[in-house]
Amino acid sequence: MDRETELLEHFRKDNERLRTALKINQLIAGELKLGPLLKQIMEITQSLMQAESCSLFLYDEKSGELVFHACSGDKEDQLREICRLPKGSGIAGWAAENLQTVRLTDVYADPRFNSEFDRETGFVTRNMICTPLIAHGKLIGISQVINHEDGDFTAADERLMESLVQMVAIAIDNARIHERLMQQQLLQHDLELAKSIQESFLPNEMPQIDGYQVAYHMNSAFEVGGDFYDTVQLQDGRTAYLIGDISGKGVSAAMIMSTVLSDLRMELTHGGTAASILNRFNISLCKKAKNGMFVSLILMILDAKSGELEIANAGHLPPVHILNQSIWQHDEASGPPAGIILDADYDFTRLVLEPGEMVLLYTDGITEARNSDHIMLGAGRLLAWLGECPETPEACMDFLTERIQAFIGQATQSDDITMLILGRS
Amino acid sequence: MSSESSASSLDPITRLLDITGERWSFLILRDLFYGVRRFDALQKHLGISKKVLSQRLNSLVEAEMLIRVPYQERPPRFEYQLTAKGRDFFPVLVAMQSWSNRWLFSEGEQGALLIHSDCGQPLDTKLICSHCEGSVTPARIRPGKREQ
Repeated sequence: MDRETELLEHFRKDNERLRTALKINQLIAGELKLGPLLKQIMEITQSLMQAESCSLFLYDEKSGELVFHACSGDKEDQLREICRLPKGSGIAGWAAENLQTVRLTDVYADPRFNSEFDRETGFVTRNMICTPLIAHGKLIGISQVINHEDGDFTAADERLMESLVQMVAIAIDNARIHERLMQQQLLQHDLELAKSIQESFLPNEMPQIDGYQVAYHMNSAFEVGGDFYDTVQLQDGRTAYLIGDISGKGVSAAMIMSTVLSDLRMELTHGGTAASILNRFNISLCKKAKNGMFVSLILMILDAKSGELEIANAGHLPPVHILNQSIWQHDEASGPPAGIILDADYDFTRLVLEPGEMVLLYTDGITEARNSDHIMLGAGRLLAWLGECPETPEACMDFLTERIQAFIGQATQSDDITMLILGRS
Repeated sequence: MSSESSASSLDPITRLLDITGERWSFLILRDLFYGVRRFDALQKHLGISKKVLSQRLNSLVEAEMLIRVPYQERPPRFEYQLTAKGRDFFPVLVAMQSWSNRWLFSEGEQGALLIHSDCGQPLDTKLICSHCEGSVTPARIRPGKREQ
């Protein structure tokens, strides 16, 4: 073969290689799900590099290990045995740690080579190129071609391998970003679903009762916390007000809310004292409750004629009475949250709401709210605010929500914030 | 700041105004003589804000004109009662009412009256000396000091 023919043959091979490399590029472009594609790329790379095998290990940031991902060649099954390469182990580990390509013409002559894998798999490694995959300066994994079919890997092979691997690294990085975005969208969808379920079970408007005003406020956390409130006109003319918090968060809590509120409404239609209604609800919930689900709640029943209130509390934060000249917090709950103890016997408090007085029901999303310095709002701060709150439920609600928001500031709201204020004029 | 507004003043009127020199205090005392004792009733009757009523009541309690008496434990609620010192303010209020009826109401206009239960006649006041029962007018008085 004369010099000219030799050059022509060289250019033809280069051209062929370039075409194949472009093919990989085309395969990667526009494909965001890389699982099956990577196997195809490994096969093309193997053929391009004239290697017996080509494999890809991805870097696991948590463990620091290289995890087997895709492989091509006759010895695929044997290589698949090597599921995880410990950090720094063998040639691959060295390339990953040093972010450098390693080209070896005789692997057994290199002390970094770990022959244990050959022994375990029965594979005989002669020579190799091992190249790290790097995207945005971070290690993604390593790719290695093993055993040139016709002699040794050359410096040109090394450069080509580095170019190919670079494309694969960027493709994997893009695919991961895409996957994260998809997961975020799914999470967002779940959260919106939970919020819409939660809102669908809340009353659109409170019944109007002469001589009384009611104000309510709910600010759901990013991850819905399972708070609820409700009001029901009873057959005997009294009005029931409810506020509660279901264990758990997100869609599951929102779904449980449907059962809880329908059961509560059912028990309210059967009437009785606040305690007897709560006792019946607790029994029905205990019989249904699964996976440790429970509900803390307050049931408050108003007799508008006399101003008398019956208040029963299942493991919820005690209500606060905003008296004309002082703030008075009720006793702690008389029993645990509903859904835990089948034979829990709830008690109730009976008192009169005098003109000018208000009663506040609220959830722990308020007292446990934290600001950006991680300081908890706490019941003491809430009670102090109530000492200077305006005189009507609506104005008082605006006052409290403003104070709470000012306290939380830019910190993330971790739980639902729910309040209900009943006032007598 | 008033030039004579001080508890150390020797002028009795100045000392009195330190306690009651604000319209709501007179009206609160008037309502208490009428038998209104609870905060919400006083507020409703006077049309006053909770904050101001609370401040005036606290001042009158501090001046020992009133005492705050609990009438319920759960929730803790209180009512206000006149002390002996407060009850002794009664003639002042009656004199104020008589003077107002006489001078601040035009003909045909009728202010609120107080009826003397014993004789059934509208109450009017006449100032006499408790010692000699003689009539008292500005011309018949002079400044003096109580004899020790």
